[in-house]
Parts: sequence; C-alpha cells; structure tokens
Amino acid sequence: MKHSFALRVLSLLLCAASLLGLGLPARAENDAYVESILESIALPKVMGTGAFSYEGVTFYRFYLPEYVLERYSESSFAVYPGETDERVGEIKRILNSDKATDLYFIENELVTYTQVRPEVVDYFDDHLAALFETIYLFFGLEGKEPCLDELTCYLIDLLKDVSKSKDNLANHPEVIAEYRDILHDIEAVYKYRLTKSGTQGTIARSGATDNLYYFAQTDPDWAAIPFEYENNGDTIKDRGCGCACASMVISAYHKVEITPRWMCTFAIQDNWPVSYGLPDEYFPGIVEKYYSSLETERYGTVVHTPTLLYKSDLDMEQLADQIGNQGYLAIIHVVRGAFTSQEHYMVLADYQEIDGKGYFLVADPYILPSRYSSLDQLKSTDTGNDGLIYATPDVLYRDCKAILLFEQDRNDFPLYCRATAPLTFAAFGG
Amino acid sequence: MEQITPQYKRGKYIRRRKRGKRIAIICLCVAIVLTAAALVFFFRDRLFGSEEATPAPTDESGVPVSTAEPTEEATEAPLRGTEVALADGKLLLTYDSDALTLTQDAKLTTLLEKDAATQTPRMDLQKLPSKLGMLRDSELERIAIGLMQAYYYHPQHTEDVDLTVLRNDRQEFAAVMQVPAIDDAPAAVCSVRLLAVGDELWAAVLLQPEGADNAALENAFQWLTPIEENGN
Repeated sequence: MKHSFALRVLSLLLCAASLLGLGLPARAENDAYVESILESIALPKVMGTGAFSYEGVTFYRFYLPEYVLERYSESSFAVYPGETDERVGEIKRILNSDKATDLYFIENELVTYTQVRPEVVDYFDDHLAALFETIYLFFGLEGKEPCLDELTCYLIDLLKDVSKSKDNLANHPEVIAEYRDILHDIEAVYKYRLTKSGTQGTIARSGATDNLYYFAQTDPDWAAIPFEYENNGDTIKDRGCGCACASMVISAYHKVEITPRWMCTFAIQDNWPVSYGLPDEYFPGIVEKYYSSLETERYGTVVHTPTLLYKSDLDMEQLADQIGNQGYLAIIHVVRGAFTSQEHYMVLADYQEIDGKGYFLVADPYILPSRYSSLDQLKSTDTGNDGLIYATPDVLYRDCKAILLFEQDRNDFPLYCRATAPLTFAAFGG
Repeated sequence: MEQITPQYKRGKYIRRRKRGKRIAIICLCVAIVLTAAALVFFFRDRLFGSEEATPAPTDESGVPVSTAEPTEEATEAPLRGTEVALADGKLLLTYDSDALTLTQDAKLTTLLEKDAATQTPRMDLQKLPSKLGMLRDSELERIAIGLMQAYYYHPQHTEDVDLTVLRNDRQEFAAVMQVPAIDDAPAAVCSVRLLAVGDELWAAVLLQPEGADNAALENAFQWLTPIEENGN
C-alpha cells in the first residue's frame, strides 16, 4: 500500500512538473509578444526634452524606450574595470577603428590601437570605463557604474548599427549626417573627459594608463621597421627617436593615437633622414605638411608649427612655466650626456616640484634606463613606464642642443555639439 | 501445494497488474483535469473576458471617459463635426475641424489644437499588431503604460505608474493615468482606449498636460467609434 501511495504521489508531482514546464515557456513567449507590441508603438516624444548639458554645452540624447531598460534590468554577467574577460576583448575589437578591415566606427576612435594590443585586449582598462560612462550619459543612464553587462552590450550594438548604417543608407545623406553627428558627439565628450581628467593618452602593455601619449621607438610593434639612411639597414629602433617624439606630441594635441609608423613613412617619403636620424626642421616640416589640421574637422583641434629654439635662446625657468602651467609640450634635442652617447630626441611632457626640487617629466622613446648617467640629476617615476623619467632643468640644459616648442595647451579641447536633435530608438531600426 | 503456489503467484500478478492500470488511469485523469484547469486559468480572460473592469470614474479624474457602450454614446451624443473613417472604414473619428487639426503619417493619426504652438494637448490613433481578445489584463495595462511612456523623453518607470482601468471587456480596454511632472515635463493626464476594430487592435491616446484640457479633443476621444463592432 505504501508503495502504491508513493507511486500516486510521484505521478501527481510529475504531472504538476510537466504543467509547470509547459507554463514557463508560455510566460516568456507572452512577455516577448507584449514587447513586440510595445516596439511597434509610435514615439511622439513631446513631453520633456532630449537635450542635456555637459560642461556648458547642450547635447542630444539617444532615446531608449522604458521597456528596453526593463528588459535589461538584470544581466546574466557583468565585467568591471580592472577585470580581464574575453567579452571585453570582443567589445574592444568592435569599437576599435584602427584596422582597414573594420566595418564599424570607421570615422571614430572610441577604442585605440594601444587598447587592443594582445596583452591588454581583454583587460577592462580605465579608458573603456570612461567610454562606457560617456555612452551611458548619452543614453540617459548617468550614474550607472561602468561595467560590461547585457545592457552595455545592447547599447554598443545600437551604436554599431548606427555606424554600419552609413553604408546601408548611402541614398539618405541626411540620415547619415545625423548618425555621424551623434557618434561624433559621443566621441568628442569621451575625449574631452579623458583630457580634462588628465587620463588621456596611451594604454601601456600592463593595462595601466600612461596619462600621456607615449610611444617608444623600441616598441616591438614597429621597432624592426626599416628606417634607413643611405641603405645603412637601420630601423625605427635604431634611429626613430624623432618619429616617436613627433607621434607623442601630435597625438597629444589631436587626441588620437598616431603611431611612429606614420611618422616614419612621411619622413622617408619626404626625404628627411640625415646621418644622425632626423633634423630639427623635420618637426615643423611634417606638422605643416600633414598634421596641423589632421583632426580639425572631427574635433576642432589644430597643431601649430613648433618654434625652434637653440640652446643660446633657452630660458629653462620660462620653459618650466610653459610646460608645467601653460600646457605646452616640447621636443628636446640632446647630445652626448645623461641620456645618450650620440644624439637623441625626447619629449618634455610636464614639469613638477618634487620634494622642493623642480623636475621635467621626460618621455624618452628609447626604453633602456641602464644607459642613463648623471643619475643624481634624474629621478625615476612611479608610473611603471620605464620610458618616463624625471630630469632636472640643469641636466637638460647641459645636454640640450635645441628645443622644438609647441606653444599651445595640450589640454585644450574645443567641445561642441554637432547633432541638432535627439536620435530615437526607432531611427536605429530597432 | 505444488499447484496452489503457482496459482497464488499468478493471481497476485494479475491483481497487481489491475492495480497498476487503476493508478495509471487515475494519474491520467488527474493530469487531464490539471491541464484543463491550467488552460482555463491561462486563457480565462480570452474565454470569459475580464472581471477586473472597474466602474467609470467620477469627476476626480477629470477625464471624460465613456461609462456606456460606444454605440450608445455614438447615437446619443450630439455628433457634429468632420468624420474620418480609419481602419478601412471600420473606425469612425469625429472631430470639430474648427477647433482641431488632423495630421496623418505612416504610423499616427493625430489631432492637435488648431494653430497650436505646442504639440500638446493632443490625441493620437494608431494600429497595434495584436487583437484585444488575445491580451490578458496585465498585458493590456502594460501596453497602455507603454503608449503613455512613448510621449516622454524620460518616462516614468512602469512600476511607478498610477493606472486606473475604466473599462475592460471584449470591445474595449480603457484606462487613465495621472502622470506627475518629470524633469521639465509638466504633470499630465493620459487616457488610453484600446479598441477592437474588426480583427484589429487600435489605440487612442489623449494626452493633456495639467491646465491644458481641451473639450474638443476630449469629445473626439470619446466619440471614437468602431463601426463594425457596433453594426453601424
């Protein structure tokens, strides 16, 4: 009897379970059905405004219907800044535009070359976090903690579709312009945030932010690229210090990563190399010819032709003020001394007082600290980047042959809004 | 003894088999009953209509939603104005063309105050891809809220919306929502009618910001009549 009773109970439980199993998919199907109706609803949006103010500039939002936010109110995964995950790599590759094969964001630099290098591509770096915060801002989700979750993936998918639509909507130039404008605004606000927070620049192979645009001539990505003088077999590593310095400075003013590859290409193309590398005149030469207005249309940035100052014209106190307080950058041409046994270019990226003593922050494109001498005049940094070193004005003046002074603030960024109206979810075709 | 044992064993076997059949039949019956009960529960709204329809509002809501069948309204109300047939002639919109302007695009038919500088108050009509009878109460309410949220750049969260159901039967689901001021959008009253128009579902929304009531719009909203449903 006991056996029979247990069998009956078991049968009942199985029946109930089978009914529950039938009911659950029906419930999910019903939710999807209602959502499909909600998706079809026209969006008159006549109440409130789709505009918001950021740093005194009015921008327009992307509009997300409430049911979308409800759909993604919970996520099956979440990756946070500082964590490493393959999904981060996937998103970075989509957002990166530094490859000729890219289908998306071809006009935007949302994720840079140094963010997608193999060592860091899966790492959730600070720049990606800042980008997500900016995207949230444009979708009206300010305050959301930056993380890679289902909602963030969905937002990036929308942006990806907008980006791709440029190709699909070739016959609708007005729509393309609208998409282009709103993507520009996201990109511009993102770059502005990085600039004003002092975190603009490259991502090191450790995943840390360099807080400046730093490119080493010894970087394996381009160190072996030929950079010859009279077929001497030299490479960028051997004599590309000028190319790397030009990359650092021009990138800083235009807020995009321009690697030494380009500088090398233009230097060879215009026959700049000399026996010791590149002449001082190379820098004003390539700025005027290629880089003064490189990103003017996109960001409104310009690079003015640098002033060439010889040692006899140099006032180190004034230079410290210009670089430390006015945001100027300089490329210093040094001769045999603390930094090199021949001739070398380095970037003077900042000036700081440390323990009551003034130091220039030097971005040395040749990473080999063991070669330095006059160590009492130098001080290592805590950045983890061996290409950065503090140097006193005295030692720099002693070794200086000339300086290329870029007399403009590296933290300038003319923020403005291009879009003229909010972009609706429907406009995505979503 | 030699014969009894096998008979006993055989009889026991037979009895067991009969008991097993009984259990199986009982289980099957229980499963059928439970399945039927579940199906009835699941589709109760579609089989019997809703029991959650609430009485018409008093003056408190300030929204003149009909308390009677649209047929009666249509015949009793002093309909004077421009008539527009929508939904292939199955939905009759009557409005005062001296006071209101009608515009139509691919999705929306809109009535606005004539020469109005703003986009509110307004009434909108649109077809939705469903049928009234296919939707449960909670789904109808969610759609009504979704219709209201579509007017806002920063819509109220669904769970915070104060929705009052005015009517819920096979012909119509009607509800009104009191929407508080959000950001720079003023408080408003949003009335929704989901109408069975033949085999189609049509939605009418009357959006009136606080202090911007418009009698002509209210009349047009109230007089909206599914013709086929009423046998007109």
